[in-house]
Amino acid sequence: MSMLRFDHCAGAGVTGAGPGMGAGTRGLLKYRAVIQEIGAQVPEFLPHGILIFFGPQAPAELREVSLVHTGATLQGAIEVGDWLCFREPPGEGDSADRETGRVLSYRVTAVGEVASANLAELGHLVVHFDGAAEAALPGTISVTPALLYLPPVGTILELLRLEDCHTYESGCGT
Amino acid sequence: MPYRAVKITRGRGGWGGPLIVKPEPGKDLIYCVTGGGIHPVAQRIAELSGGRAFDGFRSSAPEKQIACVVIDCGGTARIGVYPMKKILTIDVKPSSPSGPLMKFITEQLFVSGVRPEDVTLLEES
Repeated sequence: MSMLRFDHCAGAGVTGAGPGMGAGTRGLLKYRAVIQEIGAQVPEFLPHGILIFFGPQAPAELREVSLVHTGATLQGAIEVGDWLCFREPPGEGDSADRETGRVLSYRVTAVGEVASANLAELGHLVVHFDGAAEAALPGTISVTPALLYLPPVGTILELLRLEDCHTYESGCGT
Repeated sequence: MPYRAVKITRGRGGWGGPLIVKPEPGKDLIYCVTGGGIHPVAQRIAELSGGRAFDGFRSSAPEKQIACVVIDCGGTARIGVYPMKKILTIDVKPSSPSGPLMKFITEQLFVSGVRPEDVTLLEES
């Protein structure tokens, strides 16, 4: 399977909470899917700073606690330093974000040993927004900063590596 | 094929159990949500108990038809969701209760670290 390279954010004109990045910075997009459904019990996990993702084949009882997305092929194992981005559809966030949609980015700080396999196989990923240096469980990843908003239906979920960045201060966004 | 009770004990590093699973008419699915098809532990439970191995990622079934669930959860979701619904849950990974749903994970409902050899006919054990 070939690695997918692309000009991340080039000309996209997006704005949002993500730190700045020059247009044309190259990256490796590892995963991209669209959130289609948000389970009724998902909000119960927010106070714990946890979001659970599943691909479209998840059975009903797991959909209740999950953000269900379209699924994708994982293009490379998740690594510390990767970015998890939520590209929200237009109309969310402050007025400045409404036209293009808000982009929220989180840096991966820890990756459990089966997290990549779960994502590749089932579209399943458990994200702890705790910035921990070690994953709490084999199936989880940790990211920073804390989760402020539940991404709405229609949000594009991305995992990407930005190889040309000398610091991790750059993320998704413009 | 008549249904028989099987005993499922925790494996090395595992937690909880032992569980007794006995399928009944209309509630005989050995419901596998491990991904990658029917896990050998689910296959073994189905063969010994007379239940039907069922891949939860390929098709759907009403919860009330589920005799037990086999998971390979290393995390937060599957380990808690099924015990929360009072469904007997067998984790092939040696997980211990954790996460927001951990209060639902009890020794009566959950056993982990299970290998095929940890599944035996109740009469034998």
